[in-house]
Amino acid sequence: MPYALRTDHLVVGYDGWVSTPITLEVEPGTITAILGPSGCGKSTLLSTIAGIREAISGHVIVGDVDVTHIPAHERSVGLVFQEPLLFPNYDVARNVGYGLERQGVSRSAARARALELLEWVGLVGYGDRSVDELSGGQAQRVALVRALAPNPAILLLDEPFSALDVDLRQHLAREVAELLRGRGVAAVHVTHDPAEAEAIADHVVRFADICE
Amino acid sequence: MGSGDGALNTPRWLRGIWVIPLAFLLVFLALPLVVLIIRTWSGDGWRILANASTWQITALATVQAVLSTVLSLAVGLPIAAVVSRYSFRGRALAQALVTVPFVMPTVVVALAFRSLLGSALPQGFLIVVLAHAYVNLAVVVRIVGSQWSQHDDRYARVAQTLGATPLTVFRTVTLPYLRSSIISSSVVVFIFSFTSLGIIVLLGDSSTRTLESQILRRTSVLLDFPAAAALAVLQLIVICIVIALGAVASRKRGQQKPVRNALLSMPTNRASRTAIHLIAVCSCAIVLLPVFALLIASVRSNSGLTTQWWTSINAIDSGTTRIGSPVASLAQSLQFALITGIVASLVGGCAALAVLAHRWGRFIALFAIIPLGISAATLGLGMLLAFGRPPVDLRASGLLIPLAHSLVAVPLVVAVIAPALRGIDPRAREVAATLGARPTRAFFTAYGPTLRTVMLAAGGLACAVSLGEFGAASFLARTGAPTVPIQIVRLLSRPGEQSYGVAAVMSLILIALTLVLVLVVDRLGRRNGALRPAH
Repeated sequence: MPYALRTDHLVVGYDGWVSTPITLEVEPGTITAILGPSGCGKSTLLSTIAGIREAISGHVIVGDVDVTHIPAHERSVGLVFQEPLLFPNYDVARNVGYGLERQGVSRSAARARALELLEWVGLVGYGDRSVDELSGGQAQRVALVRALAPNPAILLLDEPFSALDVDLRQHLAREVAELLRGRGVAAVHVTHDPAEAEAIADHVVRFADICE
Repeated sequence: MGSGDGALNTPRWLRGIWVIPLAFLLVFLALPLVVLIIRTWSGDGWRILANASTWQITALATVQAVLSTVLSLAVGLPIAAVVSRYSFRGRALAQALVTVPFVMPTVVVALAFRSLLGSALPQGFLIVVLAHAYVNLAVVVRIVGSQWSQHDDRYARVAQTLGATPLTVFRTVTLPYLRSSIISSSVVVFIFSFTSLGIIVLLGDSSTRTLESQILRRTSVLLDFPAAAALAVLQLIVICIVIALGAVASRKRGQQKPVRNALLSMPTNRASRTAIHLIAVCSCAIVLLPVFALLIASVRSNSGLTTQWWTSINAIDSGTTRIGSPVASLAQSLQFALITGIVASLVGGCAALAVLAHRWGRFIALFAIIPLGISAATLGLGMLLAFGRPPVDLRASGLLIPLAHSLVAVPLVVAVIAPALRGIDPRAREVAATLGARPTRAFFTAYGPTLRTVMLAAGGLACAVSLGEFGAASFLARTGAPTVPIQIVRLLSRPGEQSYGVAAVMSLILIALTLVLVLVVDRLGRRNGALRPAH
């Protein structure tokens, strides 16, 4: 059975900095946490896997497809950042249905599906609200279901809880882990917090260990 | 009487400073407008509104202004996308060059376009729209670019990972973010194009008449002041409607959080890098081509290259009382510019200071910005009717033009000085007071150094405005003492290559003077940090 995600001697870089080749393997339905200090290149790795940055060399393989040269919008890789980055020009449900609309789903069908997903994360009745009305934790939940709505092959979480306060961070980390396992979604979660990594992940690897 | 913070420390003279801008604006802005409206009301000026040609001109000017706005956006947006977002060598130069057309006097732009395209394009609609787009390029690049430069690119990345193509990302993420700045710049470009005069006079034909040009014609050719006043009021109403529509359209909705220093590094793929460099090079070429055409026109005669036009700027028309030599008009323009610089920086400076010292100061500053929305012809005509003939005839004193120029420049002066003063920590004044400084000393300890710099910079900007201003001056100039832009138009109205060549020389001198002033303003601004000329 192929890995959900595999990087094969992937070299990433940003503004003159270049990593050593990175090899990472994520099994289907599992959550892998990558632990490393701020600025070590974790986010650059995720951006490259998502197709936002070009790989300098090596390969990104999602399922059994080499997506190294496929643009981000065709990769089926979801990404959640530290901040929710919800589109303020759309209401909550339209944000969640955004990816479905890009797949050709009609706006009304995308909205209906978005409302189901919102219910799933405990945000019943929030569909028509402006994103400005959400608390930090609610906004991050919306960002999560927005990324999950188009059924990505793998979900990348770039320190999505670090902007939240400690109690909420731990609570939400556990909740997200349950949600992902419940749906069988493979995910890569990068963090600099060992406790958070342990709380959410099936496997924890240090960034330095996956670099050759 | 105070603003609420440290009113006891506010020097008495500062508390009353609002009187100066208020008096100036009441006398030289409100009174002329009232006279204009009374003149329209009492005369039979309204009959011109029953004239079908008035509405035809309004409709044509609207179409022209809409197309000029669309073209400015079509050219300006890609340039803004590149010069305000990506970090590359030569970015600062490209950004500075794009500002050049906006500070160039409109008659100079018109002559430059005639030199560049005159043989290929006849006078008329197309060349007018092109020239307007050229002048207003900086408006789009500066206003939209300043917002774009703070765009958090991660919103676009999220959309990409959700399956959005680059075009969909632009439509659903970037465009909504830029909406307010695009609308603001569109309103400004529309108003500038709708009220255009210099470009219309030199490049237009019967299809490009604007209400502004009709106001000038009614005033100076037909001597029909009531009709001119009615047209000015009609134009004012159209401008108010456009501003109101713009305000409604750009009502604040949810906004993506901007980020500071969001300059992107150059993309790694070659095609994108090439496209970015190509747009940057094209933007420089677009700006410089008309200026080069002007340069060539200044050294070309039917028989080949010549320096004759440069050497004859003191000889042509000298001794004639009707026009005066180009050098004399240059001296006249410099004199007006100096007076404008002093008056506008004092009035605008006092308006900006009033914001600090008085609860009504904000309204005074707002009042001082109003001339920005009133066309130069309306201002010129209003001042002509109010102060251009007995019992109050300021034309003979030579002050009417610099006073009109000061009105045009005051909004820019306020826009330069007010943010710089707001950026100063008011606690510096309180600290000085606790160390024994009297209110005036404490005020100048805190605000003096910045105030000195920004007043100089704003004065320089006002001088630049005066040097290039054509609309108001064309109503108020006396026959023997034209300003340089008026002299250029007069020279071009005569046949002969000498007139054309000398007009090109004067245009280049005007560009050089304006650029020197703008560069000085920019240098002072960089020294002060917070200061940026408001373009």
